[in-house]
Amino acid sequence: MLSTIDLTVGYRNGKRVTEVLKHLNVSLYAGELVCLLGANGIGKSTLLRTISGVQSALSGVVEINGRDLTAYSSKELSKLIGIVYTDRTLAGALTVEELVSLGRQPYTGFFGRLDEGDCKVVRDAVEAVGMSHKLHDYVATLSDGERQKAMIARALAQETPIIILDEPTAFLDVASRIETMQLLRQLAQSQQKAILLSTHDVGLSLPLTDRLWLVTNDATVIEGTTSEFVENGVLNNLFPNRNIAFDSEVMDFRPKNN
Amino acid sequence: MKATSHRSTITLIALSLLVVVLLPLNLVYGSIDIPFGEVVNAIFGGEVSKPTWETIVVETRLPMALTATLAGAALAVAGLLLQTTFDNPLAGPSILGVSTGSSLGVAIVMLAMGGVVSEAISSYLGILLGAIVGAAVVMLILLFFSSIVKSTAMLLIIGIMVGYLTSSAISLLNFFSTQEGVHSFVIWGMGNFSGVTLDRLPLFAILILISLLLSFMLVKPLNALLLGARYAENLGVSIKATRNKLLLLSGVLTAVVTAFCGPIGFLGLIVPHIARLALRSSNHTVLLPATALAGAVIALLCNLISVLPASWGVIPINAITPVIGVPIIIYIIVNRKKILYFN
Repeated sequence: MLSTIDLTVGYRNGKRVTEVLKHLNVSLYAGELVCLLGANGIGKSTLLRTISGVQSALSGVVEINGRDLTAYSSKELSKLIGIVYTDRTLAGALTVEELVSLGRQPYTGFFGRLDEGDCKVVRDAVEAVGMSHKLHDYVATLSDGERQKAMIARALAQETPIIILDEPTAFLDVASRIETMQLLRQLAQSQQKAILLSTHDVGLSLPLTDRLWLVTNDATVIEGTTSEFVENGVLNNLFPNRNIAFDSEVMDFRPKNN
Repeated sequence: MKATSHRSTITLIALSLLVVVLLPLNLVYGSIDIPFGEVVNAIFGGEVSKPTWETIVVETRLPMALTATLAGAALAVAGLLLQTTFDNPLAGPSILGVSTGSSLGVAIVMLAMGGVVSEAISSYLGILLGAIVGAAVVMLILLFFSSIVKSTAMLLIIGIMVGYLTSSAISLLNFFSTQEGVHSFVIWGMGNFSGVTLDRLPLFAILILISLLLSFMLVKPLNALLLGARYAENLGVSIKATRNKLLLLSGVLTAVVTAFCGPIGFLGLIVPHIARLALRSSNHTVLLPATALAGAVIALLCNLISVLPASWGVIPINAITPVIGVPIIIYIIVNRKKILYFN
């Protein structure tokens, strides 16, 4: 579905080039939920922006369905990748239905009028995230978890094969975090979507994800399943200079026992 | 997007009715008492007992009421476009310095003519051009900074600062100008809807109606922008092109009104809020027409108030708009936690 070939991401500011993550060769397939796991500020968002075509790569290629990302028009991309950010929006005075309807914009005409088919896609998307009972509620009245679900429904209504979420669980309480992760995994399977999300929450992502993209301490990303990473000790060596070790029994990091 | 509810329909009908009621009221009330029947006759070409009455109604009150309607709608829509573009509900043409930019353009033209604002076409075309160039320069400055400064709040502050600089340039111009020049500029600066005579009305109306029509064609990207620039981009909206179009449209709307009526404050800032509160929605499909109608209503109301002192003359519009605007802004700021579109 999506793969990177020797991708280097970062920033170009005049002549100064800041490489954030280097030489990435990772893939994302339909029907799977992949967590991009790494510490805060390590470059996860930069990578997601590059993969979704918002920011250009320093070198290397991002391929979607075997075609270079830069060869797609923004119109085509809007039908290929749906993004969920954690930004606060000014959408409080829209109903859930109106918010999710915005996801149909790549398909609707000049004035954005929805036809019967669009309305059905919107209703299905809202139902898929379990928010049908709030269809006509204002976004402002939703809890943080419900708001996140509504934003996910908006991405579903966009009917893109790929959905990318930047820290979707960042501002949620524990229950909503687990619910959101389970929802995403179930959506990946039932709708055969390729879903990639970034998180720094190890304890939450390890048991619930299909595969991991792990940001290592030499500024690259390696991919694999949780059990592979536990077995070959990658997780245990993730913080070599710090007093932290991986405990495979609780599937989370702990202070090293001296 | 689908219209939210019956509430939108009711609000739009109510606002239209208010325009229909206020427009004739603006023709009936004025510094001279003219009986209602005579006003009706004057408008529809019937027999009027005094020829001066006919002149007053047809050549003064009618263009004034129509100007107020159009100017109110134009400023309100300009404010809405700016608020959505800058993702900031406190943006508006006067706050961002766009009106002040227009004023500077007008000041340069007026003072260059030595304060002799003649009835010649070249005179008011010069003022119109000055206003548009002035607004465009401020818009260009804002556009330039918007590529450097990402935060819309900071951009807003830059707009305010540009407004101060422009004001200081106007003060300086006034200082070096003739007394007549300053006088006509000060009168113009107080704002009034009587500057558009019947023969200039078509140009004014065409410019504003075209800009309003073009604004209505941007409803779809405007709605996408409610989610913020990053989401809008993901929905296939070209952010740069859309932002430029929105700034250009709000600039032209502001400049045309400013050239003819003076820099009128507050309308662009408050009317979109009134419309959002009435609709309980920020869906531009209904918000844009509601804002245009509410702008017309408020402007007609201001115009009506301005002629209330009857024989004492006409109160400047800019003495009335803050009285209506400031309480609304304070109400909104105090209650922002309860207001849907802030959450």
